[in-house]
Amino acid sequence: MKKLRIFLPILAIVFTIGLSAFNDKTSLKTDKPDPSVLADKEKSLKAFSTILTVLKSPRCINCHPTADIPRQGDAQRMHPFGVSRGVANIGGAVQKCGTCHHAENNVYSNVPGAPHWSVAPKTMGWFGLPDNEIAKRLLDKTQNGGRSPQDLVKHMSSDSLVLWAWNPGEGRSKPPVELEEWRTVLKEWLDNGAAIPTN
Amino acid sequence: MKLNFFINNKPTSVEVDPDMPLLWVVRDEVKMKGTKFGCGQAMCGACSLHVDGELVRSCSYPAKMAEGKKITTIEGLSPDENHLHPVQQAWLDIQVPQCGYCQPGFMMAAAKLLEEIPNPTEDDIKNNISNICRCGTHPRIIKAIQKAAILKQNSNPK
Repeated sequence: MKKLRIFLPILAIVFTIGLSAFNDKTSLKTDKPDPSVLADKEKSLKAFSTILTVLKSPRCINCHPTADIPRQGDAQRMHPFGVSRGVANIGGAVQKCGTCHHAENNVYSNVPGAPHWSVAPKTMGWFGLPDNEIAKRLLDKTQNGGRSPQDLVKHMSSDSLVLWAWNPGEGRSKPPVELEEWRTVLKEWLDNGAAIPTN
Repeated sequence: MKLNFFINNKPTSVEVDPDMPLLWVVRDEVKMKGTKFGCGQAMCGACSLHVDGELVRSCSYPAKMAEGKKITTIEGLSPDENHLHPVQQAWLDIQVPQCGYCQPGFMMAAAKLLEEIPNPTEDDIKNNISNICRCGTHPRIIKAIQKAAILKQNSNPK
């Protein structure tokens, strides 16, 4: 009985210390995430902020209207001639995008062209949206054609119509970063967790 | 570069710069002058013709892309002089042209419109044909297209 009287307080002290240590560990996990994860997220967000400057450049966003009419030029004026996305995002039943735009820039008329010239689907419309909304749409599989972040990066770094932005023809500005840097930031964004801004 | 295609169902070969606008090939190489040069920037529609059944502004269409394809110009819209296309007949009936320069392009656009929208409303016509006529014949063009729709339906009763 004497032994028990000594042993019980010791057990209580050990238990209290153990519980306290466990609580500390738990609070570390919830309140202070792993610094390396934080650093990755920061890197990914930084890369995404560069990605956004490209997405919002006239060469990209002009054909990502939130309504039905694409934009034209660095001034981003509404496309004239009654041009509208149509049911398949390739123009109307009579005058399609392909009535004037073909698989490459035209050296005579200076009409721009690239393979599968078309308007982005309405769910991928970005014009006039805040950054976080563009980001949300970009990652939303129900709106982006079922693409994973890996698929998005593949599309944005190799699709011939996307790459046209770096060969836009005379009188049209290129996106604000070079193509090589564009591919680098896409990889950085993906490799560090494909993070997007929430506000 | 040697290019081969069909113009109004006739096999045709030309030796040209592959980037030459199809309009120049049609007018200057094949010597068919019905298709007109207007703005040269794919804006006015005077150069409109059909490539494999699609409406194309030929001033902005490189000849190399026409390789092996079927090109229809205003000269080939009707099967022969005794059987006018409904659009041509309606154009005569309504006396559409003033100076006439832009009319072949309008007629090619109208023919394509009737294939896609057999009975077009005024809005259908305005929304689907953006060609420009400096004489301002648009009201007569709208009337003619609607008449052509009736002629076409009467000539092809279901």
